[in-house]
Amino acid sequence: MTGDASPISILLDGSLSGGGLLAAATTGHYLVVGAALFAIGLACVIVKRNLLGVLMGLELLLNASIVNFVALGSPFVQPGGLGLDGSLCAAFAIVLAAAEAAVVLAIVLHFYNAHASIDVDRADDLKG
Amino acid sequence: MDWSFLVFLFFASLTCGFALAALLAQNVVRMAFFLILSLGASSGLFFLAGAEFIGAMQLMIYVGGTLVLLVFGVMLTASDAAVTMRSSVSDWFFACVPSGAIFIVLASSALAVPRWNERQPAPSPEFVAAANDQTSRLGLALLGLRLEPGEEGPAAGARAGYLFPFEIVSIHLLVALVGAAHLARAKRRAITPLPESIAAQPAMPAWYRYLFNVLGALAASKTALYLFAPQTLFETAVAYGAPPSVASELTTLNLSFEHWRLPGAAAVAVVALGLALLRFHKVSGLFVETLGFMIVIVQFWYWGATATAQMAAVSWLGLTMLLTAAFFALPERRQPVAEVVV
Repeated sequence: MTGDASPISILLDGSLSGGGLLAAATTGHYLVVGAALFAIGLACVIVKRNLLGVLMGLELLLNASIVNFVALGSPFVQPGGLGLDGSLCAAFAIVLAAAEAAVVLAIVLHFYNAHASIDVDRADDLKG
Repeated sequence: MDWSFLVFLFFASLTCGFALAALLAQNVVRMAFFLILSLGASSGLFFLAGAEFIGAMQLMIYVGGTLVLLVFGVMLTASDAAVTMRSSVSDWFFACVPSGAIFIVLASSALAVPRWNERQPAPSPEFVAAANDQTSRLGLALLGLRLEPGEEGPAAGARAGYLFPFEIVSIHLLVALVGAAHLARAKRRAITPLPESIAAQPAMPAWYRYLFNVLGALAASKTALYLFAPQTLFETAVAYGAPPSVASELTTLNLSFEHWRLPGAAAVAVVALGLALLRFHKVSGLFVETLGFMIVIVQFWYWGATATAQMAAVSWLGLTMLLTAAFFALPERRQPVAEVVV
């Protein structure tokens, strides 16, 4: 290590840790973001009483998986990873999320017409 | 100096922060807004990872389409009690414990794999130039030809493309949207039966009765597309430097335009037949669609492109099942509906 290395330059150049703050993000960083999105989405699904809130939590869950697919399929972040498979799986996941949102929205409207409410705690019978 | 990690931190903190705000928001309208911001910030992550097509898809379909749908759902069901629904403390407890545990497990396992945590050296300009046409490669893969950047030799293009999943997901989207429209339609209960003269009228308007013929003609035009598309696909593959063994399925077709005149004429004839049959019964649309696909399947099989023929057969099967289901589902006669009492 050179003598004129300040702590900030060590942090930035990564002389100590082998890749500092200014090196490219690794796949692990993307996967941690995906894990955080997944956990938040799961908490949303469990805690929200509004049916649309549950649906938004589902969108967060799907977005977490899309982040993971993109990171593992990127030629820059993970060379020799999934390649085109990752990007295409992400594209298919986006399409499936659109279909899922349309169907769930129809169910929400149906439930609202039947119960005049979208509280999931009231959805405890199968017969509309 | 490589500032990409700071950009990554910026977008990652925006994504997670707005997701957290959506979790903590009590008002469902605010929650939708935070969700839009979170998903838009995550598209920045996609651009950073070099997946510019997925990022654009995320912005246009997810943020622009799906979430607008959600906001419409919020507005359609908005009542004061529904906009702000508070959850009990026990709900928060039972939500945060399992999701926190899952976050710890996922994050620690993601950071524990050495291959995922090696800092990649800055890519060479040649590699960036080779990997930057990912959108073109995505388009080729969706047409059935998968060329990875940097793959050389016999391995190049040997992996299967995505034509079949593409067809499946498009049919799936169509079926899901038809199902959603069916599910969300307003149901009215009959109060008094309609007079016989009104009930005897056909339920569908005149143009609607020919819907199946139009669908059949569309299927016939799709047949023509199937007949002519491989020519373009092959030319694109050659332009991308694919060795002839890559597109073995395509080369067995021995594509020169001379070979495509006859099926092209057949496809045009099928379209013309479909248009002519428009004047007859709605089953004729089904008939034309079947006929067109039969011609395509037999021709592909004859040329030795069995996988493409199977793909066309499955596509025909799905489309025919859909058309037949619609044929039986639509009512012939007008159902008695509620009369509006002023």
